[in-house]
Amino acid sequence: MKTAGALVRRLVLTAAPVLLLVASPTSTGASQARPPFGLPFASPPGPETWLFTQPYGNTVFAFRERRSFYGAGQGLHFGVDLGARCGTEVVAIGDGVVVGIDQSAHGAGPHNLMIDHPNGYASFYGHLLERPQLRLGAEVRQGQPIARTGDPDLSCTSRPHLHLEIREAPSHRRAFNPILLIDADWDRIALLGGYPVTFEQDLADPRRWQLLTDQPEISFGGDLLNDYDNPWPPSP
Amino acid sequence: MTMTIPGRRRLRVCALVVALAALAIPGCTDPRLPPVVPLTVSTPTFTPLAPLEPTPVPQPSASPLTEPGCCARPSWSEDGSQILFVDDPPGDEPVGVYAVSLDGGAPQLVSATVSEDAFPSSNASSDVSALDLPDAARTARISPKGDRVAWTEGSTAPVNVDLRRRSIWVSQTQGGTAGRVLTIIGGDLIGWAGDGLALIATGRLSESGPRGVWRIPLDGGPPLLLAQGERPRSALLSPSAGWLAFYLAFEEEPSRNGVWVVRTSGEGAQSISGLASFRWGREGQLLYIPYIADRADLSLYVLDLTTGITRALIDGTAFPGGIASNDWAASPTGDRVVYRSAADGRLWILFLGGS
Repeated sequence: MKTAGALVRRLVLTAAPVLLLVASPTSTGASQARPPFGLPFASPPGPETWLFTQPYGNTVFAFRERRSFYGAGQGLHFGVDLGARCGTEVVAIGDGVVVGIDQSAHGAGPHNLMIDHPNGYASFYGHLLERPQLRLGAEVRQGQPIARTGDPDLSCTSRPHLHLEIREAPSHRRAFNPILLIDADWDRIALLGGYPVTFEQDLADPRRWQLLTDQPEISFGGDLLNDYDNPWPPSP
Repeated sequence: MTMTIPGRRRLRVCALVVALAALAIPGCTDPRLPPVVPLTVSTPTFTPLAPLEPTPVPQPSASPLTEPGCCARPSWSEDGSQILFVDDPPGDEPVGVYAVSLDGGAPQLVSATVSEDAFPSSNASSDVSALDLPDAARTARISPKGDRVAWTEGSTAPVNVDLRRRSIWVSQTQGGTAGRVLTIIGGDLIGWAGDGLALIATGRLSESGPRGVWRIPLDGGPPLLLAQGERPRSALLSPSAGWLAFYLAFEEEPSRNGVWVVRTSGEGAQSISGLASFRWGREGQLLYIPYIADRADLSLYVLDLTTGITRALIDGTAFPGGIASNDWAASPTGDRVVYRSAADGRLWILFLGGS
């Protein structure tokens, strides 16, 4: 017997194309709003510039690390990871004001940066190479260089990447799916590489949260959203 | 070095987990392991292919196979006649592994138990689910003849990839003692070479040695560097494991970035200009979708490695809705592709024709 919740989610998922069109930069409807933010790099993606290495949401890797790395974010990957060589220039995804520099409480060391935007969102840039050369309260413009990418392992050869989050401002207590808020063709960008992007499945509702665009927002400190009794694939 | 395996347990591995294992980013040293033997490294020859010159091709037919939202991670049945996926359809149908035929119709329940047994496993002549392997075993791979199994042991902690050490072990599938082959640093076991005489792995074999893709003979011969690269990514063995495809990015030498294909026997390497999403079709036939920054549509090419000829299978507009999450798979015959549409979440099939 299926649960009412599962059936409701099924209806929502069936309606996903509509939601997707709202957020998709490739949609053509005149009334469809464009996502408010731009990419955090000036260059297009590619093997010399940057690659999309982990999406937001219920990824298989986040599920495996739901009680460790991602426990604070309800077990989901609460940002997007964009692989890039150490030192790659990061640009602001929108106009805003610098409200946090190297705030360890937000994680994503060794250096990080928080910018509040006037539309009620904040952008958070993690695993930076060095302390950003900005002061608190400084105004930044979309596309302005603000930092350089680093490596959480401090080696610059292990897994250098930018961890980018979009949060609620000014509380910074909720995180949203950047895929829906950044004007880019993410599914096409995800084709830069060999393996499929994989999301963990809950066998109680295996269609839920299986698209880049269909991922829940999270509240920091909340209960795990993916503590499944019957996950697929199973944990190793 | 040999030892008796302690603490056995059943380990279930499937083709899906092959790809997912690459997402783990473990790393720590195991001081108990003996030093790696000195190596003899051969220098591979890299022969970039000629630039692509797409030729006009007939538009293949595309049609949806499933309802909107259904389903992630499609895979082909072994005979290529059906598409398999995990689902819990609306109504009273149970959760399970479902199959849909290539002409559509209602998906049929294949197994109400979701397990690796329901999916075909590439590069293995038999399933490893019946084998008893150590608790610490990861990335288990069956030899082409099915008589041996290789696996790795080591840290799975998601920390510094460069420092991650994994020892590779081999034993008979019928049991007995296991032998440690060597230790991989900052890499992983990929699988067996098609001849069954060697293993394919990525990483370094010594602290100061070169990084790349290795052929590791099991007769005691020296490992062979098939292709050098700081971090080979998305390594995929061909159906009969005669070839390995992977890509390089962010290399010190930018010209090395892109998709590479090497023979697992060690006879040279070839590159595809730029980066692409790639899958194996038939043995020696690599299908790929190049990324072109200023184009929104998708083209599909095939590289025949026996002839070295690349040609366009789909030029431009034949993936209705785009591909969601890089989620596509080529049939065992190489003439069909299933993909998940980014527009509606359905599975769609493309009949390529003449590939």
